[in-house]
Amino acid sequence: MRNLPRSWLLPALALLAATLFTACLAVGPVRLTFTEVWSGLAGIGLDAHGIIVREIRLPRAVLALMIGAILGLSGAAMQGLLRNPLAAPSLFGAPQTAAFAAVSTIALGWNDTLSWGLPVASIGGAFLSVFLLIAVAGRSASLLLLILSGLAVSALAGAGTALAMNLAPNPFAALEIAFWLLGSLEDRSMRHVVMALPFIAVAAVLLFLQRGAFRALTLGEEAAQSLGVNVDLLRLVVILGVALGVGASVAVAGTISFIGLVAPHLVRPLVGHDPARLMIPAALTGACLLMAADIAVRLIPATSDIKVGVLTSLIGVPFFLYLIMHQRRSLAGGVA
Amino acid sequence: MSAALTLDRISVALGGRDVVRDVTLALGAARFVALLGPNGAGKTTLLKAMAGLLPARGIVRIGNQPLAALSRKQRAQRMGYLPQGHQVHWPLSTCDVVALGRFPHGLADPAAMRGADATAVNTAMMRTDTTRFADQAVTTLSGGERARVMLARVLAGQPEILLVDEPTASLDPRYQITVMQDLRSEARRGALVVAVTHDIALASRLADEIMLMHEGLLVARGAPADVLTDEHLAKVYGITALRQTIDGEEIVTPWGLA
Repeated sequence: MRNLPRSWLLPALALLAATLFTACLAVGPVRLTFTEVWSGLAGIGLDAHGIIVREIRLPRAVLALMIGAILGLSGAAMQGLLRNPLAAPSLFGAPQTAAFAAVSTIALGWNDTLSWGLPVASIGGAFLSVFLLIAVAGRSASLLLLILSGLAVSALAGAGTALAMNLAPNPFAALEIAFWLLGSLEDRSMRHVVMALPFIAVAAVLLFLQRGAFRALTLGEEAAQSLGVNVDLLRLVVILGVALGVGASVAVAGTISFIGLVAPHLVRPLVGHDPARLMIPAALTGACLLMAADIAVRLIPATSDIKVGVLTSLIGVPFFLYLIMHQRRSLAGGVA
Repeated sequence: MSAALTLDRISVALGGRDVVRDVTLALGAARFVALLGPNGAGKTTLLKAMAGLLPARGIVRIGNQPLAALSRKQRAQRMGYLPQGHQVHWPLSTCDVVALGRFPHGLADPAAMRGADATAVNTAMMRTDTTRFADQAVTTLSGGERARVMLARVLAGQPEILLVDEPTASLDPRYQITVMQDLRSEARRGALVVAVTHDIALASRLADEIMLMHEGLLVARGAPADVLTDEHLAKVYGITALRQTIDGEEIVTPWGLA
């Protein structure tokens, strides 16, 4: 009985992801049919379709897929490490700090939006924020402590970003920063994919390899240690993995929040709350969420384009409030 | 014959204070050893030092190998540690929790368990009478049931040495007896079992050996009757005890303040 949902869950999620991926290639100002998408991809059929699919929509779809997946995986990993369903990179200021690091290098003129220095800067920012959070909140932090520390880290990153905009050499730089912060996958090229993919791939492998340790951590740090888990090393690897994944995502897409919080939650009941079995479904769900959001922003009739980062926050924050409502008891108790 | 577990001049300092001071001892296999002492005597700290979970001065040996010479995995295979409080952070099923005992033996996915892993997990659940909860979430079990599931988790690892911290705390009398009997049977099967406990009465009846700690020092060690003397109880706990002999067994019941 325990294994029943598991056997159909992965194929179902994979199928959903494939469907959404195809939809990502089909939806836009020029609507394409399924056959047009595939012939465009294969390079047969109309040249215009081929260009739309391969050069404009494919990079965007690939980015949505990989960024969504790594955000979902990062959320699952942080929740596993901290044994806390409210843990997520975005609540702890990781994307905000990554964005701050990235925009300051832009504002200072060290990087443009296509240089390799950008992911490096944002990865550094993300690493710093997660490290700071775990250093401040301590080893077996309560929900309250984590959320308060996360709030402080986000506020600090926000202030830093405001300062960078404040000091921006010209209004265009300030505008660039502002748009950056909204988070978007529009007008991205394969160059962006190439820039983010190596970091995201390394992050995914690093985080996925820790799944057994997350399961052992269910019994607490001492029990996990007695089972042979090096908890200090684990903590460092997770911080590094999350920083690589979130940092690289922010470098190419700006801040996209709450996927990491929402995705693990949606699948947790289906995999029996096991933090190890959660990893791949959470990654697939994250990918589906971001692809769906990126399709939605193209479908929503608006005078100006809605940025996908805005949409994920609009959905994610109420979801977070709902979670808080359900965790009220443990929050009020002060300990998780 | 070498002892199962040897401590050679073990001291542990926590927050600048020596919580365990200069403990030297050798414990044989197939023994059920109760570690007694008042709150703050250093029992839990000593147990963690045995498990290698705390930085300690001195040398801990499993058989004749120093703990430091073993990898984390080897150590985890040979020694099981059950912390106090029976924490479970996610509502995993009983079977999944017990299967965690096989983690040091390389079991990655409890759903795909077979061979020696499956046998060990099933045996552990059978011995602790937890098989009927196999598919139930541990968080929905009562305190006593959960304590036995946690015990099954350590048993599933089939360790030579079993270190258990207050296994009977906050359990009802029935489960106190059951859990202590489970531990004793494990010792009878050949493991060295060291249990920290406050239950003088049960320890005096079921343990093969008692170690009594006071202010970080090991003050007495030996058969229950030799350790739980009026003099020791008065000095270490500040209590008097009532002694009765029933069916040839001496029962020690804490009675009043000394």
